[in-house]
Amino acid sequence: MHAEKQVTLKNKEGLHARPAALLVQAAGQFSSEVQVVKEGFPPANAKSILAILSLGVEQGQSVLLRAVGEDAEEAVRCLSALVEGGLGEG
Amino acid sequence: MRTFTGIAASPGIAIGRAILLRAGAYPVERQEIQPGQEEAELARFTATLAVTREELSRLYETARRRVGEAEAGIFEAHRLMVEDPEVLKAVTRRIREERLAAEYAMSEVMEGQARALEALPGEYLRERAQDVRDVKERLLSHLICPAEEPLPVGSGPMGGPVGEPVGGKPGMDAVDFPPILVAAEVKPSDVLPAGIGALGGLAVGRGGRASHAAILAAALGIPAVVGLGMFAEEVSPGALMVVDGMSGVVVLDPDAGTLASYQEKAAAHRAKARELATLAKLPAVTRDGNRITLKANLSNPAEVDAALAAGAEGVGLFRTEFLFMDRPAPPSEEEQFQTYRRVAEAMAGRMVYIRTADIGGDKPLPYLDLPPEDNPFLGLRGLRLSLARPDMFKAQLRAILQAAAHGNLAIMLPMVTEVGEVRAAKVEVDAARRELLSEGRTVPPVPVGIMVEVPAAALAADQLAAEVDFFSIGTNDLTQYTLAVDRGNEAVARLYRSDHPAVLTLITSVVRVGAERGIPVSVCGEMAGAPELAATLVRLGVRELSMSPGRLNLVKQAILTLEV
Repeated sequence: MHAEKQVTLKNKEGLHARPAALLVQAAGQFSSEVQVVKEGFPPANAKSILAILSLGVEQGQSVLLRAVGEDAEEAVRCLSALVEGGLGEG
Repeated sequence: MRTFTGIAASPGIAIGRAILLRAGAYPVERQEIQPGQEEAELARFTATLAVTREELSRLYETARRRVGEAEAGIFEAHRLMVEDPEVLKAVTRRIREERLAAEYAMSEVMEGQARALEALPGEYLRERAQDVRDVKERLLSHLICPAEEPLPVGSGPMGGPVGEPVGGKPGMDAVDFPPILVAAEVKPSDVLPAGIGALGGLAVGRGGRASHAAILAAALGIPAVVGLGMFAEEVSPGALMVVDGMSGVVVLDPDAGTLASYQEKAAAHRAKARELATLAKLPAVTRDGNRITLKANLSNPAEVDAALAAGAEGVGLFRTEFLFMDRPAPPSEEEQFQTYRRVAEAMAGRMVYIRTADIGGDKPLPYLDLPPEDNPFLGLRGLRLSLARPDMFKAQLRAILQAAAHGNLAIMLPMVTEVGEVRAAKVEVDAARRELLSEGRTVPPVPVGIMVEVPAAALAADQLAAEVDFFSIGTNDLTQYTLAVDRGNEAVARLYRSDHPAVLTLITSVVRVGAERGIPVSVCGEMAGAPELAATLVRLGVRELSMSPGRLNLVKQAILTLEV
């Protein structure tokens, strides 16, 4: 199974520790491999807080959420909804 | 022998040996392991991850309960870094393929991550690089000094060379003299010794009662003194020292006589604490059947646990000044709301009197920009200041009214002298309430009461009674204003007496008005927390006393044997 979706970050301060932590914890709920892909950077493991932070995603930037595995579709649906909902900072 | 004085932050007496919290990082040298040891080394690393994860979860829970979600978040972020699968993958590879010791492999990986974050633009990510290094240090402390082993006293990574044990068998030293952590400052991100639970006490250079160190010490129930200035620089690892968390005194290298007297005090304190703790669940009833309600005075939501543990039946005074101090701008409505809500929730339905900002010219705040006053104690302070700064007052009232939906809150106005001020304040309360209702929020009814701390208020209690839901007598200021004595002035301090007949007469008249008009009267000054004076207050007819949590059961003990 494979799924992906382009999403835009809404958080004013960018993908800093708190929203990143939420994303990483959510990604950890899925058995699929989940990646966050930002242009110009190697794909980042969505279950790794350090990998996510080091993308330095800022407000308004767009990233690709990509999952491979049994629950890939569900993972992308859930994570993209989270990002679009402001990652707890709505 | 030398004596230092700081701020008493967590009660009790600790006698032990100094260990120093390192300011810098552990130096880690490249170290290889023997072929065939890879899996054992890896197991050692994963065991360390588990221990560190546990520790961070505990710190997170403690910090969340005591200071709130926002401040606790750092421990959660650190835990996620410990759980980071990319870190585990990279460290595993370096242990297996390069046969590196776990300390070095992990340090290299974390340092690489920190540098990667630093390379990105923005202040924020540079700070996260510091978080990565904090996690590295915490992992190192566990790798070097696993939790199963007793905390080294003044040795190894935390403290440098071991001091010569003084007296007693060396093996007994750790039992007789537990480690006392000495630090210039304790930050939430600091690496604390793996065996911090085994600490006997804490002595810290910077910080006040609300500092991280103080909260941590209180959470762990260990004696602590903070605000010791440059003290940490005077201490060598392994030095014998006494931490008196009641008086805020620290004694370095005590002589035999001092040591013996503190050992006696420590034993007496433990015995007394055990005895008093048994009273916490008992109601305070005089021998002749008068039920007295005992409440706590708090300055910070972090103190709620201690108050409940001591059996507090409510909060008779929640000071809000701490929210306004040491900052460039006043606290936002949201920040205040979160604070009041936390207290309301933690007190679970028990009544909490939130006192609006009691600020004046004696402690000027930069953002208030007040002109200097010749006589700040007779100047623009307490409610007078709030009424002069309607925006600040409104934010505080809105925060209290909204937080009241999460528990049982009342508004208490300080420094009232006449009925017009109370009416003006109530107009502001009503305006804030209407605003909130028009925004679609629910606002429960919130009682409004006053502090009686100026003789005028005590003498005019009859008129004030028409406007208020409760009186709370602030005996500290009432005594100072009645007797015209500043007790901080040594030349006249001996004239300061809360049981001066003039003060007692004023208290009696407020109690009488309260009884006639059906308005509860409590006392929240220091008088209420002094067992003998508390007994006097009960004899005068006071039925509610509010005091610092540490005094509750001392006062209860006095009440249980009292006949009115």
